[in-house]
Amino acid sequence: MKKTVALVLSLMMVLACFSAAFADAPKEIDVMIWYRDIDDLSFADMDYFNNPETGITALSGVHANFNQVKGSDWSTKVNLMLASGKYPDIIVRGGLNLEMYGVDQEILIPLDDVIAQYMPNYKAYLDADPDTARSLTSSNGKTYQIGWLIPQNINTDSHLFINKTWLDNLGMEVPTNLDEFEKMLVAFRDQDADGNGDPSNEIPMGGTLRNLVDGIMHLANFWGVALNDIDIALDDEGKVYSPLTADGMRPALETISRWYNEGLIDIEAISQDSNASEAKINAGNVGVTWRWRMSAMGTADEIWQQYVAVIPFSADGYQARLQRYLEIPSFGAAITAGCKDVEAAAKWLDTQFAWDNMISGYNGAKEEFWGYDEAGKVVIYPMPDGTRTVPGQSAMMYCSGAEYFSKVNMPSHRIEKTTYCEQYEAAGVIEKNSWNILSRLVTMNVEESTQKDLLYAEIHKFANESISSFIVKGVTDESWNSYLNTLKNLRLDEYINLYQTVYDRYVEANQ
Amino acid sequence: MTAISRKDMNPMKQKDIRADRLFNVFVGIMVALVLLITLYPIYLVIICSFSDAALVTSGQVTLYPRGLTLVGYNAVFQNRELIHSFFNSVVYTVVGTVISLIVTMGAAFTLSRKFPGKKLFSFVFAFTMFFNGGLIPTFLTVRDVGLYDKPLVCILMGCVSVWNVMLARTYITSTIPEALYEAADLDGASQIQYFIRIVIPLSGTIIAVLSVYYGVAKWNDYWTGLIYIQTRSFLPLQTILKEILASLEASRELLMSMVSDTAAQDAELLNRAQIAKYCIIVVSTAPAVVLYLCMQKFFVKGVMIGSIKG
Amino acid sequence: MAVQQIHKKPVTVSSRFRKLGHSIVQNRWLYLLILPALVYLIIFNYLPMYGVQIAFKDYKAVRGIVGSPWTSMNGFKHFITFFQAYYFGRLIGNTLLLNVLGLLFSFPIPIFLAIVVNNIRGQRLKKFTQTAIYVPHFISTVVLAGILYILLSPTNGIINHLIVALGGKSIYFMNEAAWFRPVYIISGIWQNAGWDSILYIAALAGVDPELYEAATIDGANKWQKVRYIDLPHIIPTATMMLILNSGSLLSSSTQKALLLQTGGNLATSDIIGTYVYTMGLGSGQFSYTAAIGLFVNVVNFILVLSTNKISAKMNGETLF
Repeated sequence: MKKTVALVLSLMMVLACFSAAFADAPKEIDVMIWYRDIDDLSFADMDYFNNPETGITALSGVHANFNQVKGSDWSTKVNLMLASGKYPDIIVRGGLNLEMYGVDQEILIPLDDVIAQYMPNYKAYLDADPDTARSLTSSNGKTYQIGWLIPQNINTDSHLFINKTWLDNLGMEVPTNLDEFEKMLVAFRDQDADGNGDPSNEIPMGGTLRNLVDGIMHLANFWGVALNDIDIALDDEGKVYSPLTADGMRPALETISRWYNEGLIDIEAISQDSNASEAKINAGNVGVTWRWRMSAMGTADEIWQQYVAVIPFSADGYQARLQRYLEIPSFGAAITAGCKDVEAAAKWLDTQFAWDNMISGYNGAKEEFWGYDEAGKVVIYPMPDGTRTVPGQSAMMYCSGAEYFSKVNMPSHRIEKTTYCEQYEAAGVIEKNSWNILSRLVTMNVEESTQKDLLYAEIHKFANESISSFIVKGVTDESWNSYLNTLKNLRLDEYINLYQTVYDRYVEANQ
Repeated sequence: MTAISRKDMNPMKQKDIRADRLFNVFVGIMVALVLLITLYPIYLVIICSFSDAALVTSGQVTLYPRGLTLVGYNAVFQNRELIHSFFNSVVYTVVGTVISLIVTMGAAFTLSRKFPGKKLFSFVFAFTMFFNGGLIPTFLTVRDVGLYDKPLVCILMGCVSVWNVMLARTYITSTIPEALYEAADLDGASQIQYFIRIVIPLSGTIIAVLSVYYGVAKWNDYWTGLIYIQTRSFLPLQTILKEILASLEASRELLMSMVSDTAAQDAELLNRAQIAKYCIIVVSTAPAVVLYLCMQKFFVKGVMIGSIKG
Repeated sequence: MAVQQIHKKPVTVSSRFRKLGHSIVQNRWLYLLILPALVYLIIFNYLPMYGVQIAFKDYKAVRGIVGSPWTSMNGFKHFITFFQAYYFGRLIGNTLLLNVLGLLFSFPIPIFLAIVVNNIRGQRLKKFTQTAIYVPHFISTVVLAGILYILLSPTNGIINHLIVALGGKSIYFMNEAAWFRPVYIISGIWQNAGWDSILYIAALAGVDPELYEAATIDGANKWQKVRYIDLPHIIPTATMMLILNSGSLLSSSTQKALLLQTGGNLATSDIIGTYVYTMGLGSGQFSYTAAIGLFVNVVNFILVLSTNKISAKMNGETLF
């Protein structure tokens, strides 16, 4: 009898030990994670996940097996993987077509209930700003993604920078209207503005062609033409139009062409890429440029400090108008239908949304890379080069602008841009309704978006060709009419109507 | 040999000496021109790989390196996975090329002979050069066969190039006379003995060419590793190098608009990547050049064993 | 009248099969030698061949290729959409012109190079040249494009410096439609002629030296040797290469074209490959891009069949 009891007791002890061990063993999930081309990361080795006390695995009880994919390979690999039938449990960052894979093919699961039940941290951020949260839903009203939002507190991509040192050297004032602007460009071209003894090395205005950050087509903004990547925009009354056929487009192109052919704009601007135009700025040869901001762009201090930001002016009879940038969350994560333990997956994600984890995931371990100052705000310590071993842009991040800026001390380069944005807003030079509504907020079903893609491919190509041609050769009545005619044949009207329908639907859904 | 009297030879010799001299001069000029056109851009790549990024992008590096720096090479060699992937590639290339040669020569030989189904087989082979199921079905098939994420897939993929098979077949039919086959047949040799004892030794040249073609193709292949391998320690060199190269294509505005608080470091990384692309070419080309130098020995002058006459 | 008949064996079906069987057994080694290659092709090419139907379907990843629904117009909807594209004519024209002109100009160069190299008299110079001309092949397209932009820059480029020095006006090569094809083709020759010449160099190296000696004795000079010995030796290989190359006349080197394409040269640089690339980026238009790919393959195949037939008539060299 005693022997039996002893046996049973020892068996129970062994069992208890085993079950304790198993209970502590973290659940396993497969995660397909995107990371930037420029980073050299190994997620499986990161302290951010593996640290026995502060690591995500320990805190959530869920261990992730990573399949990491670089940005340039991302779209091939994710589409291939979804075609293969063997889905990972979670897809993190990078992005994928939610309408196609979520709404239409149900490979991704709707997350509304999952968020409500298992993700309290994330839900708190969503609830704090329901308008922004609504942008995460798909055409059927369900949400298939966890959002990713780095608040920047900005409202436009690009600002106009003029080299003040050059102006001072020539004894000129900062231009306040288009005529003075042109006179300044002429002076930069002809005189020795940078004081090096050679009057011919200055490029009056540099940039690329249509890039939203440094394209010379920003000059068209002076005539109220806010050209953007999708060739479609909203006017102040909420009507969809195309900048390609806006009133100000022709006079804008005529002036740009004249300036280009008079050598006031870098001759290579229409074919070079940003790397090339940035190199010229860094070499100190450019007088005027449109740019994201001046500091922390890889330019030497003594060069970028020569520039001053200027508010764009309006051409006669027009109102200057810049493209508005909306802070819209992009893709953070999605859970696939292949996930067997949705609760574990959700928990793994939600743990990363706890405030401290969120900051650590983006910047580095607490105490080492950031901390709290006396006011209780987050201070991020300057990072020595090459020591980043955290997910960074691949970490979970979601925070509204106001909240983030109130809790974190922003570095100077972020404040620099915010300042310009506030000035531009006050001057009223930014379009009222952002084109981002059309590019990112409206939802299209699969048929609509296929149609849009087909039309866009040809319209956009023709637009590029025409703009380049008008700038080099100038505008005549004949060439302009031919341009309008071709746009008609390319079904620009159909393109505009498509967006109008979708936009009206969006407005109604968000009443 | 036709009998030619000394009298007949002399008058022609004068004209021919001049013609030959002209020919030699012509060849000489051509060689100089070709070398200049070919070598200058290569020289440019090499000096760019040692130069400062900004100077290179603004086109100021033309005749000699400026702003000497090893930053690009550092960016390449600091990559932890690079050295290991280099050895992976060596294995894949050597093994893969050997397999390719055996399989290709066998197929080429067969297609060069007359046998029932020759036209059918030729068509079956040639057809695959034009029609292809596409990435997704090929991917699924590879997975179903069990080759996904196995190093073997990097060795086997591409080991039969119908293009090369056709070239080898042409070589065999145009270089090895039928008379040899008949002689071997009379001696009682079977097809395979003919293949091993006569065709292969006489095919030194085409085998050398194929080994360069297959070897270089295998060495340069980044696609197979990209699509079919997930475990990073199996990846070949080119896939790793392409990732480093892709950092360049992460264009500036993408970088900036992502609003990183490490913008300054990112800009520096981007600058480094600009030069890295030149270093990558130097690093990945060197072995291929060495391979070719070795293979050149085999481009020997005709090895016809006088078998017809004998 | 009784006519003496020559006793002929009657040809029956069974005797045909027996003859065939005997022939197969006789050639059994041949089948064995070709077997590995055949297995490879079956696994990696023929098994996935069912994927071709994606061009006729409305592909949905979750249903797989076989399970996805057929498109309208008997499955031809994607093709019709492509044919109706505004730029369809331009795409086909540009692609064909680029490739045909490219083939025309670049085909003779490797042969020319091989003959030049073969006639170099110093062994070391010969080896050096042989290796040097093949190195450009390794310069990746990205770097080649970068070099071209620098060399052809309207402000700093060497080429324009030369042109201006000779009294001309600076040309903005990268932005003019007329210059796209020359730049593309010439840079392609630079990149690949040396590599392509390997085959011909090898072929020439295999020429029996006795032939040259005999020719010398017959009084031939070097030019004549080239004409009567070297060239005929190269013809079979060259013909095969020509047939093989005609099978890519509608294909596109998409990466290279994209890198050299600018707003200004779209009139000539807009080719099928770049169109497919921009469509593919959109939202995974797999079926549509697959349909275009299939169309290109069919046209290429027809072109090869024609070249093959012509070649068969001319000198008997055929692909199949």
